[in-house]
Amino acid sequence: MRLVLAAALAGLAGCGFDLMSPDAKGALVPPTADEDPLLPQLLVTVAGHDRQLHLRTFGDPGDPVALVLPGGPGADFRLLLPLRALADRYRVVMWDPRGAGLSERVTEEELGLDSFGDEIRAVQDAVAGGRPVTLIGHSLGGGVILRYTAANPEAVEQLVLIEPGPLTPEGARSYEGGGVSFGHGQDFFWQNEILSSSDHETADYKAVSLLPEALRSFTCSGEPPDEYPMWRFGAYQYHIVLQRLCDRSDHLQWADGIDAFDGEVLVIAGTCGAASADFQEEHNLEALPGSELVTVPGAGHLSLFTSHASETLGVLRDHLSAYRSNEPRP
Amino acid sequence: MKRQPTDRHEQSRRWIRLTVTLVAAWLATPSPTRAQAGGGFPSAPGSGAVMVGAALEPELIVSIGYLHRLDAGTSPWRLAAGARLKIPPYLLGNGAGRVSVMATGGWIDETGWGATLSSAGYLARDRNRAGTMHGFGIEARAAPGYHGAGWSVAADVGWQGTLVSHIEHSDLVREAFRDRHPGVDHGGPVDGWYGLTAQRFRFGVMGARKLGDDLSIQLAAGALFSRQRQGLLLSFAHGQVPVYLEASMRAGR
Repeated sequence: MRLVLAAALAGLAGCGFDLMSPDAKGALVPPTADEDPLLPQLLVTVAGHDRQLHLRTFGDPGDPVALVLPGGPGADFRLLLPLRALADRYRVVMWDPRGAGLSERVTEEELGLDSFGDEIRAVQDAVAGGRPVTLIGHSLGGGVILRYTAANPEAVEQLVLIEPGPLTPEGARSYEGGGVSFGHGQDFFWQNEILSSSDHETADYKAVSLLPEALRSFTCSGEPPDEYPMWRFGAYQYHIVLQRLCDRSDHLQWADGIDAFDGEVLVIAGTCGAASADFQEEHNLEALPGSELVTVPGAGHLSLFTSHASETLGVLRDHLSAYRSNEPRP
Repeated sequence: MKRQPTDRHEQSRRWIRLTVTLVAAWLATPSPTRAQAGGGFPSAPGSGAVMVGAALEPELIVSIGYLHRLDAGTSPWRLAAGARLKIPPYLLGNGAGRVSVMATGGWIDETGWGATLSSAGYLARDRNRAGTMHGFGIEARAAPGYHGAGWSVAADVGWQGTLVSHIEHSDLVREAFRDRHPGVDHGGPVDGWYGLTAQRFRFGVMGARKLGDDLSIQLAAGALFSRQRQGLLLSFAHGQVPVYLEASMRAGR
Protein backbone atom coordinates (compact mmCIF):
# COMPACT_ATOMS: atom_id res chain seq x y z
CA MET A 1 0.00 0.00 0.00
CA ARG A 2 2.73 2.48 0.96
CA LEU A 3 4.66 1.71 -2.24
CA VAL A 4 1.56 2.43 -4.33
CA LEU A 5 0.94 5.71 -2.54
CA ALA A 6 4.56 6.71 -2.71
CA ALA A 7 4.64 5.96 -6.43
CA ALA A 8 1.47 7.95 -7.04
CA LEU A 9 2.74 10.94 -5.09
CA ALA A 10 6.17 10.71 -6.68
CA GLY A 11 4.51 10.72 -10.06
CA LEU A 12 2.60 13.84 -9.20
CA ALA A 13 5.73 15.47 -7.88
CA GLY A 14 7.46 14.60 -11.11
CA CYS A 15 4.74 16.42 -13.00
CA GLY A 16 5.74 19.63 -11.28
CA PHE A 17 3.42 19.58 -8.28
CA ASP A 18 5.08 20.92 -5.17
CA LEU A 19 3.19 18.96 -2.54
CA MET A 20 3.25 19.97 1.10
CA SER A 21 2.50 17.61 3.94
CA PRO A 22 -0.62 18.57 5.90
CA ASP A 23 1.48 17.94 9.01
CA ALA A 24 4.14 20.46 7.99
CA LYS A 25 4.78 22.90 10.82
CA GLY A 26 3.15 26.25 10.25
CA ALA A 27 1.33 25.30 7.04
CA LEU A 28 -2.20 24.95 8.42
CA VAL A 29 -1.88 26.26 11.98
CA PRO A 30 0.75 28.40 13.76
CA PRO A 31 3.72 26.46 15.15
CA THR A 32 3.90 25.76 18.85
CA ALA A 33 6.52 27.17 21.23
CA ASP A 34 8.81 24.16 20.88
CA GLU A 35 8.67 24.61 17.08
CA ASP A 36 9.04 28.41 17.04
CA PRO A 37 11.82 29.77 19.29
CA LEU A 38 10.72 33.33 18.54
CA LEU A 39 7.54 32.85 20.57
CA PRO A 40 7.73 34.17 24.15
CA GLN A 41 7.89 31.01 26.23
CA LEU A 42 8.80 29.39 29.52
CA LEU A 43 10.23 25.92 30.08
CA VAL A 44 8.45 24.06 32.88
CA THR A 45 8.69 20.57 34.29
CA VAL A 46 5.24 19.08 34.86
CA ALA A 47 4.11 15.46 35.03
CA GLY A 48 7.69 14.33 34.66
CA HIS A 49 8.32 16.10 31.36
CA ASP A 50 10.01 19.36 30.35
CA ARG A 51 7.60 21.33 28.17
CA GLN A 52 7.60 24.75 26.57
CA LEU A 53 4.68 26.98 27.52
CA HIS A 54 3.71 29.85 25.24
CA LEU A 55 3.68 32.62 27.88
CA ARG A 56 3.61 36.40 27.88
CA THR A 57 4.15 38.88 30.66
CA PHE A 58 3.05 42.49 30.94
CA GLY A 59 3.96 45.14 33.47
CA ASP A 60 6.62 45.77 36.05
CA PRO A 61 8.29 42.64 37.50
CA GLY A 62 8.22 44.33 40.90
CA ASP A 63 4.44 44.69 40.96
CA PRO A 64 2.03 42.13 42.47
CA VAL A 65 1.65 39.17 40.16
CA ALA A 66 -1.64 38.21 38.48
CA LEU A 67 -1.73 34.83 36.71
CA VAL A 68 -4.45 34.55 34.04
CA LEU A 69 -5.77 31.19 32.87
CA PRO A 70 -7.90 30.64 29.77
CA GLY A 71 -10.89 28.35 29.45
CA GLY A 72 -11.09 25.14 27.50
CA PRO A 73 -10.18 22.47 27.31
CA GLY A 74 -8.09 23.27 24.25
CA ALA A 75 -8.37 27.06 24.23
CA ASP A 76 -5.58 29.64 24.34
CA PHE A 77 -5.23 33.01 26.06
CA ARG A 78 -5.61 35.21 23.01
CA LEU A 79 -9.23 35.97 23.97
CA LEU A 80 -8.04 37.23 27.36
CA LEU A 81 -5.39 39.63 26.04
CA PRO A 82 -7.49 42.72 26.98
CA LEU A 83 -6.71 41.86 30.60
CA ARG A 84 -3.12 42.95 29.95
CA ALA A 85 -4.48 46.43 30.72
CA LEU A 86 -4.18 45.41 34.38
CA ALA A 87 -0.43 45.82 33.92
CA ASP A 88 -0.86 49.34 35.24
CA ARG A 89 -0.91 47.79 38.75
CA TYR A 90 0.05 44.12 38.24
CA ARG A 91 2.66 41.98 36.65
CA VAL A 92 0.19 40.16 34.39
CA VAL A 93 1.20 36.69 33.22
CA MET A 94 -0.79 34.73 30.63
CA TRP A 95 0.01 31.36 29.12
CA ASP A 96 -1.49 28.57 27.06
CA PRO A 97 -1.88 25.35 29.05
CA ARG A 98 0.22 22.39 27.91
CA GLY A 99 -1.30 20.84 24.82
CA ALA A 100 -3.39 23.90 23.99
CA GLY A 101 -2.85 27.08 22.05
CA LEU A 102 0.76 27.61 21.09
CA SER A 103 2.18 25.62 23.99
CA GLU A 104 3.93 22.35 23.32
CA ARG A 105 1.80 19.30 22.50
CA VAL A 106 1.98 16.62 25.19
CA THR A 107 1.09 12.98 25.71
CA GLU A 108 -2.08 11.60 27.26
CA GLU A 109 -0.32 10.59 30.48
CA GLU A 110 0.69 14.22 31.10
CA LEU A 111 -2.87 15.53 31.03
CA GLY A 112 -4.20 14.42 34.39
CA LEU A 113 -6.49 16.98 36.03
CA ASP A 114 -4.02 17.54 38.87
CA SER A 115 -1.24 18.33 36.41
CA PHE A 116 -2.80 21.70 35.65
CA GLY A 117 -2.38 22.72 39.28
CA ASP A 118 1.25 21.62 39.04
CA GLU A 119 1.53 23.76 35.94
CA ILE A 120 0.28 26.83 37.85
CA ARG A 121 2.81 26.09 40.58
CA ALA A 122 5.62 25.87 38.04
CA VAL A 123 4.67 29.22 36.50
CA GLN A 124 4.22 30.86 39.87
CA ASP A 125 7.64 29.68 41.04
CA ALA A 126 9.21 31.01 37.87
CA VAL A 127 7.61 34.46 37.79
CA ALA A 128 6.57 35.32 41.34
CA GLY A 129 9.57 34.20 43.32
CA GLY A 130 7.51 32.64 46.10
CA ARG A 131 5.12 35.60 46.49
CA PRO A 132 1.38 34.96 46.75
CA VAL A 133 -0.38 35.74 43.49
CA THR A 134 -3.77 36.85 42.28
CA LEU A 135 -5.38 34.18 40.13
CA ILE A 136 -7.82 35.08 37.34
CA GLY A 137 -9.46 32.18 35.53
CA HIS A 138 -12.03 32.10 32.73
CA SER A 139 -14.49 29.25 32.23
CA LEU A 140 -12.71 25.94 32.89
CA GLY A 141 -9.74 28.01 34.03
CA GLY A 142 -11.90 29.16 36.92
CA GLY A 143 -12.31 25.60 38.13
CA VAL A 144 -8.61 24.92 37.76
CA ILE A 145 -7.52 27.93 39.83
CA LEU A 146 -10.16 27.08 42.44
CA ARG A 147 -8.74 23.60 42.82
CA TYR A 148 -5.21 24.99 43.00
CA THR A 149 -6.19 27.53 45.64
CA ALA A 150 -7.88 24.90 47.79
CA ALA A 151 -4.66 22.89 47.73
CA ASN A 152 -2.33 25.89 48.10
CA PRO A 153 -4.24 28.57 50.03
CA GLU A 154 -1.05 30.26 51.21
CA ALA A 155 0.09 30.77 47.62
CA VAL A 156 -2.92 32.85 46.59
CA GLU A 157 -3.84 36.37 47.60
CA GLN A 158 -7.06 36.92 45.67
CA LEU A 159 -9.21 34.75 43.43
CA VAL A 160 -11.23 35.91 40.41
CA LEU A 161 -13.45 33.47 38.49
CA ILE A 162 -14.86 34.83 35.23
CA GLU A 163 -17.91 32.76 34.25
CA PRO A 164 -16.54 29.52 35.60
CA GLY A 165 -18.05 26.35 34.22
CA PRO A 166 -20.03 24.03 36.49
CA LEU A 167 -18.22 23.53 39.79
CA THR A 168 -20.44 20.73 41.12
CA PRO A 169 -21.85 17.49 39.69
CA GLU A 170 -25.34 18.94 39.89
CA GLY A 171 -24.25 21.98 37.92
CA ALA A 172 -22.54 19.76 35.36
CA ARG A 173 -25.79 17.92 34.71
CA SER A 174 -27.61 21.21 34.08
CA TYR A 175 -24.90 22.82 32.01
CA GLU A 176 -25.77 23.45 28.36
CA GLY A 177 -22.57 25.01 27.10
CA GLY A 178 -20.53 23.94 24.11
CA GLY A 179 -22.67 21.38 22.33
CA VAL A 180 -22.94 20.99 18.58
CA SER A 181 -26.15 19.90 16.90
CA PHE A 182 -26.33 17.12 14.31
CA GLY A 183 -26.86 19.61 11.50
CA HIS A 184 -24.01 21.89 12.52
CA GLY A 185 -21.63 18.95 12.86
CA GLN A 186 -22.19 17.70 9.32
CA ASP A 187 -19.38 19.63 7.68
CA PHE A 188 -16.89 18.58 10.33
CA PHE A 189 -17.38 14.93 9.35
CA TRP A 190 -17.72 15.60 5.61
CA GLN A 191 -14.21 17.10 5.69
CA ASN A 192 -12.87 13.56 6.27
CA GLU A 193 -13.31 13.04 2.52
CA ILE A 194 -10.57 15.60 1.93
CA LEU A 195 -8.76 16.30 5.19
CA SER A 196 -8.80 13.88 8.09
CA SER A 197 -7.52 14.64 11.59
CA SER A 198 -4.50 12.40 11.22
CA ASP A 199 -2.23 14.35 13.56
CA HIS A 200 -2.14 17.46 15.75
CA GLU A 201 -1.87 19.97 12.91
CA THR A 202 -4.84 18.72 10.91
CA ALA A 203 -6.96 18.11 14.01
CA ASP A 204 -6.31 21.63 15.34
CA TYR A 205 -6.95 23.12 11.89
CA LYS A 206 -10.30 21.42 11.49
CA ALA A 207 -11.43 22.85 14.84
CA VAL A 208 -11.46 26.29 13.20
CA SER A 209 -14.55 25.35 11.21
CA LEU A 210 -16.40 23.72 14.11
CA LEU A 211 -15.68 25.98 17.09
CA PRO A 212 -18.00 28.84 16.17
CA GLU A 213 -20.89 26.39 16.10
CA ALA A 214 -19.91 25.03 19.52
CA LEU A 215 -19.85 28.56 20.92
CA ARG A 216 -23.43 29.43 19.98
CA SER A 217 -24.60 28.50 23.46
CA PHE A 218 -22.34 31.14 24.96
CA THR A 219 -23.54 34.15 22.94
CA CYS A 220 -26.44 36.49 23.61
CA SER A 221 -27.92 35.89 20.17
CA GLY A 222 -27.57 32.11 20.05
CA GLU A 223 -25.63 32.57 16.80
CA PRO A 224 -21.92 31.85 16.31
CA PRO A 225 -19.80 34.64 17.83
CA ASP A 226 -18.80 37.52 15.58
CA GLU A 227 -15.39 37.56 17.13
CA TYR A 228 -13.37 34.80 18.73
CA PRO A 229 -9.67 35.58 18.90
CA MET A 230 -7.69 32.35 18.95
CA TRP A 231 -4.31 31.25 17.66
CA ARG A 232 -4.69 27.52 17.79
CA PHE A 233 -7.12 25.05 19.38
CA GLY A 234 -5.64 21.99 21.07
CA ALA A 235 -7.94 19.24 19.79
CA TYR A 236 -6.07 16.36 21.42
CA GLN A 237 -5.84 18.10 24.80
CA TYR A 238 -9.54 18.91 24.51
CA HIS A 239 -10.38 15.25 23.86
CA ILE A 240 -8.26 13.85 26.70
CA VAL A 241 -9.24 16.41 29.34
CA LEU A 242 -12.91 16.14 28.41
CA GLN A 243 -12.69 12.37 28.80
CA ARG A 244 -11.18 12.79 32.24
CA LEU A 245 -13.87 15.27 33.23
CA CYS A 246 -16.62 12.97 32.01
CA ASP A 247 -15.10 10.08 33.92
CA ARG A 248 -15.41 12.11 37.11
CA SER A 249 -18.56 14.10 36.38
CA ASP A 250 -20.58 12.31 39.01
CA HIS A 251 -18.31 13.32 41.88
CA LEU A 252 -15.93 16.10 40.82
CA GLN A 253 -16.27 19.04 43.23
CA TRP A 254 -13.93 21.76 42.00
CA ALA A 255 -14.40 23.80 45.16
CA ASP A 256 -13.61 21.01 47.63
CA GLY A 257 -11.38 22.39 50.36
CA ILE A 258 -11.77 26.05 49.35
CA ASP A 259 -12.71 26.80 52.95
CA ALA A 260 -8.98 26.74 53.65
CA PHE A 261 -8.62 29.95 51.64
CA ASP A 262 -9.51 33.07 53.58
CA GLY A 263 -8.91 35.58 50.79
CA GLU A 264 -11.47 37.30 48.58
CA VAL A 265 -13.28 35.35 45.89
CA LEU A 266 -14.84 37.38 43.09
CA VAL A 267 -17.11 35.87 40.42
CA ILE A 268 -17.74 37.93 37.28
CA ALA A 269 -20.47 36.93 34.85
CA GLY A 270 -22.44 38.33 31.98
CA THR A 271 -26.18 38.09 31.53
CA CYS A 272 -26.28 35.90 28.40
CA GLY A 273 -25.32 32.36 27.53
CA ALA A 274 -24.79 29.05 29.26
CA ALA A 275 -22.50 30.32 32.02
CA SER A 276 -24.27 33.60 32.74
CA ALA A 277 -24.96 35.16 36.14
CA ASP A 278 -28.18 33.14 36.42
CA PHE A 279 -26.23 29.90 36.10
CA GLN A 280 -23.63 31.09 38.59
CA GLU A 281 -26.31 32.01 41.13
CA GLU A 282 -28.20 28.78 40.73
CA HIS A 283 -25.34 26.30 40.60
CA ASN A 284 -21.94 27.72 41.58
CA LEU A 285 -22.24 30.32 44.30
CA GLU A 286 -23.35 27.76 46.85
CA ALA A 287 -19.96 26.08 46.43
CA LEU A 288 -18.20 29.40 47.07
CA PRO A 289 -19.40 30.70 50.45
CA GLY A 290 -18.47 34.29 51.01
CA SER A 291 -17.83 35.01 47.32
CA GLU A 292 -19.15 38.10 45.56
CA LEU A 293 -20.90 37.95 42.18
CA VAL A 294 -20.67 40.99 39.92
CA THR A 295 -22.63 41.10 36.66
CA VAL A 296 -21.67 42.72 33.37
CA PRO A 297 -25.00 43.46 31.66
CA GLY A 298 -25.38 42.39 28.06
CA ALA A 299 -22.17 40.37 28.00
CA GLY A 300 -21.71 36.73 27.07
CA HIS A 301 -18.97 34.22 27.75
CA LEU A 302 -16.74 35.61 25.02
CA SER A 303 -17.93 39.19 24.69
CA LEU A 304 -16.81 39.80 28.28
CA PHE A 305 -13.39 40.16 26.61
CA THR A 306 -14.36 41.65 23.27
CA SER A 307 -17.24 44.09 22.97
CA HIS A 308 -17.60 44.36 26.78
CA ALA A 309 -13.89 44.24 27.68
CA SER A 310 -13.89 47.75 29.12
CA GLU A 311 -16.76 46.89 31.50
CA THR A 312 -15.00 43.71 32.60
CA LEU A 313 -11.80 45.65 33.27
CA GLY A 314 -13.82 48.17 35.22
CA VAL A 315 -15.17 45.45 37.49
CA LEU A 316 -11.68 44.07 38.00
CA ARG A 317 -10.25 47.46 38.86
CA ASP A 318 -13.07 48.04 41.34
CA HIS A 319 -12.25 44.82 43.17
CA LEU A 320 -8.60 43.89 42.80
CA SER A 321 -6.58 44.73 45.87
CA ALA A 322 -3.76 46.53 44.05
CA TYR A 323 -6.21 49.15 42.87
CA ARG A 324 -7.32 49.96 46.39
CA SER A 325 -4.04 51.60 47.29
CA ASN A 326 -4.43 55.36 47.69
CA GLU A 327 -0.87 55.98 46.66
CA PRO A 328 -0.63 57.46 43.16
CA ARG A 329 1.34 55.50 40.60
CA PRO A 330 4.58 57.15 39.50
CA MET B 1 -46.06 -12.73 31.65
CA LYS B 2 -42.97 -11.59 29.71
CA ARG B 3 -39.69 -11.68 31.57
CA GLN B 4 -38.28 -8.16 31.83
CA PRO B 5 -34.60 -7.49 31.00
CA THR B 6 -32.53 -7.44 34.15
CA ASP B 7 -30.12 -4.78 32.93
CA ARG B 8 -29.33 -2.51 29.99
CA HIS B 9 -26.72 -4.90 28.59
CA GLU B 10 -29.27 -7.68 28.40
CA GLN B 11 -31.70 -5.30 26.68
CA SER B 12 -29.01 -4.36 24.12
CA ARG B 13 -28.25 -8.02 23.45
CA ARG B 14 -31.94 -8.67 22.83
CA TRP B 15 -32.14 -5.82 20.28
CA ILE B 16 -29.02 -7.08 18.50
CA ARG B 17 -30.36 -10.66 18.32
CA LEU B 18 -33.72 -9.37 17.02
CA THR B 19 -32.06 -7.22 14.35
CA VAL B 20 -29.81 -10.03 13.14
CA THR B 21 -32.76 -12.44 13.05
CA LEU B 22 -34.91 -10.05 11.02
CA VAL B 23 -32.13 -9.33 8.51
CA ALA B 24 -31.31 -13.02 8.11
CA ALA B 25 -34.98 -13.86 7.61
CA TRP B 26 -35.33 -11.12 5.01
CA LEU B 27 -32.31 -12.42 3.11
CA ALA B 28 -33.43 -16.02 3.31
CA THR B 29 -36.97 -15.40 2.04
CA PRO B 30 -37.27 -16.87 -1.47
CA SER B 31 -37.02 -14.22 -4.14
CA PRO B 32 -39.74 -13.89 -6.81
CA THR B 33 -37.10 -14.13 -9.54
CA ARG B 34 -34.48 -16.66 -10.55
CA ALA B 35 -31.99 -14.09 -11.69
CA GLN B 36 -28.93 -13.68 -9.61
CA ALA B 37 -28.45 -10.65 -7.40
CA GLY B 38 -25.08 -10.56 -9.11
CA GLY B 39 -22.89 -8.79 -6.58
CA GLY B 40 -24.13 -5.32 -7.50
CA PHE B 41 -23.64 -5.68 -11.26
CA PRO B 42 -26.39 -4.96 -13.77
CA SER B 43 -28.01 -8.31 -14.41
CA ALA B 44 -27.67 -8.58 -18.16
CA PRO B 45 -24.52 -8.07 -20.22
CA GLY B 46 -24.59 -4.73 -21.97
CA SER B 47 -27.23 -3.35 -19.62
CA GLY B 48 -27.04 -0.49 -17.22
CA ALA B 49 -28.38 0.25 -13.78
CA VAL B 50 -29.06 3.40 -11.81
CA MET B 51 -28.22 3.36 -8.13
CA VAL B 52 -29.59 5.75 -5.52
CA GLY B 53 -28.68 5.61 -1.90
CA ALA B 54 -28.37 7.29 1.47
CA ALA B 55 -25.84 6.75 4.18
CA LEU B 56 -24.53 7.91 7.53
CA GLU B 57 -20.73 8.17 7.55
CA PRO B 58 -21.58 9.49 10.20
CA GLU B 59 -22.59 12.61 8.29
CA LEU B 60 -25.70 12.18 6.21
CA ILE B 61 -25.00 11.71 2.51
CA VAL B 62 -27.11 10.86 -0.51
CA SER B 63 -25.81 9.49 -3.77
CA ILE B 64 -26.82 8.66 -7.29
CA GLY B 65 -24.82 6.67 -9.81
CA TYR B 66 -24.86 4.61 -12.96
CA LEU B 67 -23.11 1.35 -13.81
CA HIS B 68 -22.92 -0.17 -17.28
CA ARG B 69 -21.99 -3.80 -17.66
CA LEU B 70 -19.14 -4.37 -20.08
CA ASP B 71 -18.52 -8.12 -20.04
CA ALA B 72 -20.23 -10.61 -22.36
CA GLY B 73 -21.65 -12.75 -19.56
CA THR B 74 -20.04 -15.93 -20.91
CA SER B 75 -17.71 -16.48 -17.96
CA PRO B 76 -17.71 -15.99 -14.18
CA TRP B 77 -15.80 -12.72 -14.72
CA ARG B 78 -17.85 -9.54 -14.53
CA LEU B 79 -16.92 -5.98 -15.45
CA ALA B 80 -18.83 -2.73 -15.27
CA ALA B 81 -18.01 0.96 -15.37
CA GLY B 82 -19.84 4.07 -14.34
CA ALA B 83 -19.98 7.21 -12.29
CA ARG B 84 -21.41 8.39 -9.00
CA LEU B 85 -22.30 11.67 -7.35
CA LYS B 86 -22.27 11.91 -3.55
CA ILE B 87 -23.70 14.91 -1.71
CA PRO B 88 -24.15 15.86 1.94
CA PRO B 89 -27.64 17.43 1.79
CA TYR B 90 -27.03 19.69 4.82
CA LEU B 91 -24.09 21.27 3.05
CA LEU B 92 -25.52 22.17 -0.35
CA GLY B 93 -24.80 25.82 0.39
CA ASN B 94 -21.09 24.98 0.82
CA GLY B 95 -20.92 23.46 -2.65
CA ALA B 96 -19.82 20.26 -0.93
CA GLY B 97 -19.86 17.01 -2.85
CA ARG B 98 -17.91 14.25 -4.49
CA VAL B 99 -17.98 12.95 -8.04
CA SER B 100 -16.41 9.61 -8.93
CA VAL B 101 -15.72 7.54 -11.99
CA MET B 102 -15.81 3.86 -11.21
CA ALA B 103 -14.83 0.49 -12.52
CA THR B 104 -16.19 -2.66 -10.94
CA GLY B 105 -14.93 -6.16 -11.57
CA GLY B 106 -15.67 -9.49 -10.05
CA TRP B 107 -15.55 -13.21 -10.26
CA ILE B 108 -18.62 -15.17 -9.19
CA ASP B 109 -18.82 -18.91 -9.85
CA GLU B 110 -21.89 -21.03 -10.55
CA THR B 111 -22.43 -21.67 -6.85
CA GLY B 112 -22.61 -17.93 -6.15
CA TRP B 113 -19.39 -17.58 -4.24
CA GLY B 114 -16.93 -14.98 -5.36
CA ALA B 115 -15.80 -11.44 -4.87
CA THR B 116 -16.27 -8.06 -6.43
CA LEU B 117 -13.85 -5.17 -6.41
CA SER B 118 -14.85 -1.60 -7.10
CA SER B 119 -12.31 1.09 -7.72
CA ALA B 120 -12.93 4.76 -8.21
CA GLY B 121 -11.16 8.00 -8.79
CA TYR B 122 -12.85 10.99 -7.23
CA LEU B 123 -12.89 14.74 -6.86
CA ALA B 124 -14.29 16.03 -3.54
CA ARG B 125 -15.01 19.57 -2.50
CA ASP B 126 -15.83 21.50 0.64
CA ARG B 127 -16.00 25.12 1.68
CA ASN B 128 -16.32 26.25 5.28
CA ARG B 129 -15.01 28.81 7.78
CA ALA B 130 -11.48 27.42 7.46
CA GLY B 131 -11.29 27.69 3.70
CA THR B 132 -12.03 25.98 0.40
CA MET B 133 -10.71 22.50 -0.29
CA HIS B 134 -10.61 20.32 -3.36
CA GLY B 135 -9.28 16.79 -3.09
CA PHE B 136 -8.41 14.19 -5.70
CA GLY B 137 -8.33 10.63 -4.54
CA ILE B 138 -8.85 6.96 -5.18
CA GLU B 139 -11.01 4.38 -3.50
CA ALA B 140 -11.11 0.59 -3.54
CA ARG B 141 -13.91 -1.48 -2.07
CA ALA B 142 -14.13 -5.28 -2.06
CA ALA B 143 -17.07 -7.57 -1.33
CA PRO B 144 -16.00 -11.18 -0.96
CA GLY B 145 -18.91 -13.46 -0.16
CA TYR B 146 -21.95 -15.11 -1.53
CA HIS B 147 -23.65 -13.44 -4.50
CA GLY B 148 -26.38 -15.90 -5.25
CA ALA B 149 -29.83 -16.33 -6.66
CA GLY B 150 -31.85 -13.38 -5.49
CA TRP B 151 -29.64 -12.33 -2.63
CA SER B 152 -26.09 -11.78 -1.55
CA VAL B 153 -24.18 -11.34 1.64
CA ALA B 154 -20.56 -10.36 1.75
CA ALA B 155 -17.87 -8.58 3.65
CA ASP B 156 -17.51 -4.89 2.85
CA VAL B 157 -13.84 -3.92 2.98
CA GLY B 158 -12.40 -0.75 1.59
CA TRP B 159 -9.83 1.99 1.60
CA GLN B 160 -9.91 5.52 0.25
CA GLY B 161 -7.11 8.03 0.07
CA THR B 162 -7.21 11.65 -0.97
CA LEU B 163 -3.83 11.85 -2.65
CA VAL B 164 -3.71 15.51 -3.53
CA SER B 165 -5.69 18.44 -2.16
CA HIS B 166 -5.71 22.12 -2.85
CA ILE B 167 -6.47 24.26 0.18
CA GLU B 168 -7.18 27.97 0.05
CA HIS B 169 -7.37 29.35 3.57
CA SER B 170 -9.95 31.78 4.84
CA ASP B 171 -9.33 35.13 6.50
CA LEU B 172 -10.25 33.46 9.79
CA VAL B 173 -7.32 31.08 9.47
CA ARG B 174 -4.96 33.87 8.39
CA GLU B 175 -6.03 35.89 11.42
CA ALA B 176 -4.92 33.01 13.66
CA PHE B 177 -1.33 33.65 12.61
CA ARG B 178 -1.31 37.33 13.64
CA ASP B 179 -0.17 38.86 16.92
CA ARG B 180 1.84 35.82 17.96
CA HIS B 181 5.10 37.64 18.25
CA PRO B 182 4.92 40.90 20.18
CA GLY B 183 5.35 43.77 17.75
CA VAL B 184 6.09 41.55 14.76
CA ASP B 185 3.86 39.75 12.27
CA HIS B 186 5.39 37.03 10.16
CA GLY B 187 4.41 33.73 8.76
CA GLY B 188 0.98 32.61 7.74
CA PRO B 189 -0.96 29.61 6.49
CA VAL B 190 0.15 28.23 3.16
CA ASP B 191 -2.34 28.10 0.30
CA GLY B 192 -1.52 25.40 -2.17
CA TRP B 193 -1.27 21.71 -2.86
CA TYR B 194 -1.00 19.16 -0.09
CA GLY B 195 -0.28 15.45 -0.41
CA LEU B 196 -2.17 12.54 1.14
CA THR B 197 -4.52 14.62 3.23
CA ALA B 198 -7.04 11.91 4.07
CA GLN B 199 -7.17 8.15 4.43
CA ARG B 200 -10.15 6.08 5.54
CA PHE B 201 -10.59 2.37 6.12
CA ARG B 202 -13.86 0.48 5.90
CA PHE B 203 -14.72 -2.86 7.52
CA GLY B 204 -18.30 -4.02 7.45
CA VAL B 205 -20.87 -6.35 6.00
CA MET B 206 -23.33 -5.91 3.22
CA GLY B 207 -26.46 -7.71 2.12
CA ALA B 208 -28.48 -7.34 -1.04
CA ARG B 209 -31.78 -8.73 -2.27
CA LYS B 210 -33.52 -8.64 -5.59
CA LEU B 211 -37.09 -7.43 -5.50
CA GLY B 212 -37.78 -8.28 -9.14
CA ASP B 213 -35.93 -8.47 -12.42
CA ASP B 214 -35.18 -4.75 -12.37
CA LEU B 215 -34.88 -3.80 -8.74
CA SER B 216 -32.66 -4.70 -5.85
CA ILE B 217 -31.85 -3.17 -2.53
CA GLN B 218 -28.64 -3.27 -0.53
CA LEU B 219 -27.75 -2.58 3.08
CA ALA B 220 -24.26 -2.18 4.46
CA ALA B 221 -22.95 -1.33 7.90
CA GLY B 222 -19.71 -1.38 9.76
CA ALA B 223 -16.74 0.69 10.88
CA LEU B 224 -15.36 3.59 8.87
CA PHE B 225 -12.39 5.32 10.43
CA SER B 226 -9.57 7.64 9.48
CA ARG B 227 -5.91 6.99 10.10
CA GLN B 228 -5.03 8.84 13.32
CA ARG B 229 -1.51 8.95 14.78
CA GLN B 230 -2.62 9.50 18.37
CA GLY B 231 -4.50 6.19 18.06
CA LEU B 232 -7.94 7.69 18.63
CA LEU B 233 -10.66 5.46 17.26
CA LEU B 234 -13.52 7.40 18.86
CA SER B 235 -13.18 11.15 19.23
CA PHE B 236 -15.77 13.68 18.17
CA ALA B 237 -13.12 16.40 18.39
CA HIS B 238 -11.17 14.58 15.67
CA GLY B 239 -14.19 13.84 13.49
CA GLN B 240 -13.67 10.19 14.34
CA VAL B 241 -16.99 8.44 14.92
CA PRO B 242 -16.17 5.13 13.24
CA VAL B 243 -19.50 3.87 12.01
CA TYR B 244 -21.31 3.81 8.70
CA LEU B 245 -24.74 2.70 7.67
CA GLU B 246 -25.71 2.59 4.02
CA ALA B 247 -28.90 1.79 2.12
CA SER B 248 -29.18 1.82 -1.63
CA MET B 249 -31.46 0.75 -4.42
CA ARG B 250 -30.46 -0.39 -7.89
CA ALA B 251 -32.86 -0.10 -10.79
CA GLY B 252 -32.10 -1.61 -14.16
CA ARG B 253 -31.63 -4.96 -15.86
